[in-house]
Amino acid sequence: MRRAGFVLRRLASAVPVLVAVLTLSFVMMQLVPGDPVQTMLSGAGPAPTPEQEQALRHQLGLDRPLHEQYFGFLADAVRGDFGRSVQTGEPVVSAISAVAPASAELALFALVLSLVFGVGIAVLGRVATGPLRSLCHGVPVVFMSTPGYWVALVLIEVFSFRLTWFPATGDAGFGALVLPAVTLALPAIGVIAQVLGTSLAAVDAEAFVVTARAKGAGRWRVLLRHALRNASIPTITLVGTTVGNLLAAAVIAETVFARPGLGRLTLQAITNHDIPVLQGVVALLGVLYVVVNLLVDLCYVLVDPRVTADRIRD
Amino acid sequence: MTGRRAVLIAAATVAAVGCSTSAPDATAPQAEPKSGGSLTFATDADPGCLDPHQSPTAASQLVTRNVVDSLVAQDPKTLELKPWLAESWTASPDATSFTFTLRTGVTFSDGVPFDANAVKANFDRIVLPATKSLLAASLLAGYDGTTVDDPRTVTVKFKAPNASFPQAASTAFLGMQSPKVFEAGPEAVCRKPVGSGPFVAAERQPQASITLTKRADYNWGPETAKHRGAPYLDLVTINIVPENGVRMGSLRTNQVDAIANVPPKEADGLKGAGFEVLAKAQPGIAYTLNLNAAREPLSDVKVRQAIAKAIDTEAVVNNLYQGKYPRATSVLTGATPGYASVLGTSQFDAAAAERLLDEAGWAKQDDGTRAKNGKPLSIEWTFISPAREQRDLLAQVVQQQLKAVGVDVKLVPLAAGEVIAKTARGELQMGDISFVRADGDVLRTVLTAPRGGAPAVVAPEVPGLLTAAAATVDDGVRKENYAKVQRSLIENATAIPVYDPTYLLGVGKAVHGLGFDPQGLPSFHEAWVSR
Amino acid sequence: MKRPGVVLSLLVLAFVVACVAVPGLLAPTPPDRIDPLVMLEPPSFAHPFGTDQLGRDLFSRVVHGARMSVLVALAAASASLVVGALVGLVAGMLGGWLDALLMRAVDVLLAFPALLLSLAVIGILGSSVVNVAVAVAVAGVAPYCRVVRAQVLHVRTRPFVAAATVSGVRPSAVLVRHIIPNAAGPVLTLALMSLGVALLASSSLSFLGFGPRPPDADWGTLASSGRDYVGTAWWLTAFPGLMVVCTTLAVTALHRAVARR
Repeated sequence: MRRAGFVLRRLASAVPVLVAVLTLSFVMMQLVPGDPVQTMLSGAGPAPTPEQEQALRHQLGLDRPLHEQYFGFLADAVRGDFGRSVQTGEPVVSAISAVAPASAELALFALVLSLVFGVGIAVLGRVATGPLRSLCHGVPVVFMSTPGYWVALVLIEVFSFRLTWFPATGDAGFGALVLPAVTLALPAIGVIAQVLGTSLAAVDAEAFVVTARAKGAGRWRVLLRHALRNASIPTITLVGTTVGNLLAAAVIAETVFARPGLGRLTLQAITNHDIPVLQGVVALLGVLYVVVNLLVDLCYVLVDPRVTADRIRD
Repeated sequence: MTGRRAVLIAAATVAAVGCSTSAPDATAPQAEPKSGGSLTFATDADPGCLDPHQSPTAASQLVTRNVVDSLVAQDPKTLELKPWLAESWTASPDATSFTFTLRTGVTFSDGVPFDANAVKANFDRIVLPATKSLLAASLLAGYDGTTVDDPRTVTVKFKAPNASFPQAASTAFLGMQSPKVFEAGPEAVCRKPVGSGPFVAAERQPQASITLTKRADYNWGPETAKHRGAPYLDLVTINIVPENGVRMGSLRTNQVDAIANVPPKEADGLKGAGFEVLAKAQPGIAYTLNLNAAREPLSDVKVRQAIAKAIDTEAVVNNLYQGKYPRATSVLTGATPGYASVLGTSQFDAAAAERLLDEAGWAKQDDGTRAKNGKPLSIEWTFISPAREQRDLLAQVVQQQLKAVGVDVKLVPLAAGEVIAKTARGELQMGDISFVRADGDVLRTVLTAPRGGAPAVVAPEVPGLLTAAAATVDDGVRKENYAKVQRSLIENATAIPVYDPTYLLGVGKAVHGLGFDPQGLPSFHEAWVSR
Repeated sequence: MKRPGVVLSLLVLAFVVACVAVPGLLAPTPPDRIDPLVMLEPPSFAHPFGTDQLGRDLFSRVVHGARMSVLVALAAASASLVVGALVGLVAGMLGGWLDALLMRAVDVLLAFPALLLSLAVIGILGSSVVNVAVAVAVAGVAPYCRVVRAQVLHVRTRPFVAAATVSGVRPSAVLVRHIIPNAAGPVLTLALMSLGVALLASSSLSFLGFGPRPPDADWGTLASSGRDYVGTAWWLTAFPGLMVVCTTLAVTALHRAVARR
C-alpha cells in the first residue's frame, strides 16, 4: 500500500516536468528564425502563391492566436500527435517509431556493457593491488576524456577493416551491434566506474564495514554483502542520466556506423530545420527521463528499504 | 523521328571525343551469367522519398530506376531513344502532341495491367499540385492532358511546344507506376512505389537499407538492354552508408559487393587491390560555379570575368580529382546532347584577372586584398552541406585561388533546403550546381525554374533561345540555340564550369554485368554474382 | 597524490597554451598552404603528422586549430559558469517561488542529455562558431546552478552568517564577505571539469559539421575531414583526435588533483 502511494506520488510529480518539457518544445518552434510555411513550400518549381501559403498556414493552425496554438499543441502532444515532418510529410510519430527499436536495442546493449564493465572496474579497483589497481583507477578517466567520434573511427579501422572481426555497418545481427555499442559504452563505463569506486572507498571506511571486517568476514564477502549494496545508490542515480546520454551519444555512433536510429533522425531534423520531428524527439526524451527516474526511485526502495519517498525528494 | 536520331548520334560522337575518361558501360562478362544469389550495394545518400514523380534526387533514382519502367528507353552509349513500354511514337510537327503505341502484356507488380488508362493516370497525377512534384512536373511543363485513343494508344498534349518530351519520358521521373498505389496518397508512394520494373521495392528500413526483390515474370526489358528477361539476381540490398571511408573499407573487406561514389583519390588504390572501378561521365549540367549578376560587386562583368580567369580549373581537377573527373569545357557536360565546347583551353589567367580587377577600380591593398571606396572585395559562396564529390574541399581550393588575386570568398555551407530557398529569393551571391539529364533541354530546367545554386540572371536573349529550342523538332536549330546559350553564359561570366561529374562505381570481384543507365546511375537488371 | 600525472598534465597544457598563443612559432608552415606534390603523405620528418588530401601540413593545421578549439571551449565554460552561478545565487539568496521556478527549470534542462540539448540549440540558432559556444554553454549551466545554490543555502545556515544577517548587515555585504568566498572553491573545481566537458562537446559538434567554416578549422573539423580516409590515411583523424584526448585528460587530471586537495 505504501509502495503504491509512493508510485502514485512520484507519477504526479512527473506531470509538471512533462508539461515543462512540452512547453520547451513549443517555445522551440517559436524561436526558430524564418517562417515554417516558407520552409515547407520552398521546394524547386514555381514560387508558392500567397493563396497556397495561406492555405498551408490555416491547415497547420498557424493563423490562430498563440495561446490557442499552445494549448492545441499540448492537447495534440498528450494524444501523441506531433504533426508531420516538414521534410518527408510523414507523421512524426511513425518516423520516430520506425527507428526507435534500433535505438533501444543499441542503448540497451550499451547500458549492459556499461554496467558490467563499470562495476567490474570499480570492484577490481578495490580488491586488486599494484599496477592493476592503478590501471583500474586511471582507465575511467581516459574513457571519459575520449571523444565518441574518435573511438568510433578507431574501432572501425582496427576491428572491422584490419582484423575484420565485426561488420562496420548495418543493423543486421549481433555482430553489427558490437562496435557502436562499445563506442557508446566507453564514457559511461568511465563514469560508473569512477562514481562507484569513490562510493566504495567511502563505504569502506564506515563503521559497519569496519565492524564486519573485525568480525572476520572475508574481503570479498564484505565487499559484496555490505559495501557494494550501500555504494550502489549513487550508481543507480547515475543509470538514470546514463540512459539519456547513451541515446544522445548515438548521434555520432549512428552516423559513423551507418545505423538507423533516433540520433540520426535528430541530426537530419536539425540540418533540415524539421522542427516537428525535433519536438517529437525532445518530448520522447522528456518522457523517457521521467520514466527512467521513476524506475530508479523504485530501485532505491528495493535496495534500501529505509529510503522513503520523502528522502528522495530532497 | 529519324532526323532527330541522326543528330543525337552526332552529339554522342562529340561527347565521346570531349570526354577523357570514357570507360566500359558494363563489366565485360567473363562467363555465362548465372541466375540467383544476392548483391549488397552501399550507396552514399539516403534516397528519402522513393516516388520518382515527387523526388528530384539522384539517390532516389538509383532505387526507382530499377522499380519503374518508362515509355521510352535511352541507349546509355548512343543516347538514342528506343522503344520500351511504348512500341513506337510520333510527334506533331509543332512538338505539342505526342502519340504513343503501347506494348501489351505488361503488368505492374501488384497485378494491375499496364495500358493507356495507366499512362493517363500517371501523367495526370504528376502535374496535380497535391503530388508535390519537385522535378517531374517541370518536365511536363505546359501539360494539356492525355487522351486515351484506345487501350494501347495514348496522345499526350501540351499547350506550348515541348520537343524534348520523349527524352523526358525515358527518365524514371516520368516512369510508369500502378494507378492503384496513387489512391493511398503521396506519402504512401514515397515509402513504396509500385512499377512494372525488373525489381520490386520489397522492404525499407528507414535510414538503413532498401531491399529489392526480383520480378520473376519480367520480360519487357528495353530494346537497349542485352538481357531483356527477368533479372539474374534474386535480391538486391541497398545499404545507406554516408561515410566515404566506411563505404570504401566495407568494399575492401568484402562486407559489401559494390559501392557508389568512390572518392577519386581512392580509385587507383582500389584498382590496385584487384577491384574494378567503373567510370561513367554523367550527362547534364557540369559542376558549375554561378555568379549572381544582380548583386554587388558581381553586377560588374569585369569582376565576374576576373573571377572566372582567377580559377585554375585544371589544377582543381588534377589535384582534387586526380583527373578522374574531366575538366568541364562548357556548362553542359561532354556527354550531353547539345553540348558545345566553349572552353577548349582553360581560361585561367591570373595576370589578366588582376588587370580586370584593377580596371574595375578594385585597387590592391598592402595586405593583398582589394577594395574600392573603402569597401573590401568580398563575396559569399553558399553551397550545400554535406557536400558531394568533395565539393567542400573544392571550395577551399577555389577560395585560395581567388585570395591570390585579392578576392575574399566567405564560404557558407547550408542544408539543401536552405540553399534552394535562398536561390529562389535571389539572395545567392555565388552558388554552384550540377544537374543530371541526358538532353540539352536541361538548360531550360535549370535556368527557368529557381534551382538551388543556379544562375539568377542570364543574358536577355537566353530565355528566348531556350523556348525556341523546346518549340522545334529541328535538331539543327536546337543544337545551335543550346550552343549560343552555353557561350552566352560563359562570355558573361555568370557561369564558370569546373568539372564534368563522373560516377565512379566500385565493384567487388564476384560481381559481373553491373551497368549504368543513361543518367549515369548503376542499374542492377543485368548484374549477376559468381559465388 | 600522483605528482607525475600533474606534471605531465601541466606540460600538455603548456603546449596547448603555446599553440593558442603563438601557433606560427611552433608551426611555421601556413596551415592552409596547398601543395599538390605531397597529398595524403603519412607522417614523416618534414610533416610530423602527415599531410591531408590537399597536401596541407597536418601538424600545422592541428597547432593552428588549437586556438579555435580552446577558445570555443573556454568561452562556453565561462558562459556556463557566469550564468549558472548567477541563477544559483539568485535562487539561493531570494528563495521562495522564484527559487522553486528556477530549480524546476534546471530540472528540465537536466532532463536532456547534454549533446542533444546542444544540438537542439543549434537547430534553433543555426550553425556557427558562436552558436556552438552558446549551445555547449546552455548544456553546461545546470550543474553550476545546483552547486552555487547548495553553497548559498549551506553558508546561510552557518552561525556567523545567520548572526550577520540578524544584526542588520546588508545582504550584498553578506554575499561578498561570506557567500562568494565559500562558494568559489567548489565552483572553480567544477569549472576545471566543465572545461574538459566543453572541449569534448564542442569538438563533437564540429565533427558533426556545425563547427567553424573553412579556412578556419578546429580539432573536431580536422578529425571529421579525415573520415573519408579511415582505413587508408589513419593520421588524418588520429592526431587531431589525440590532441582532444590529451587536452581533456590533462584538464581532468588537474581537476582530480584539485578536488582531492
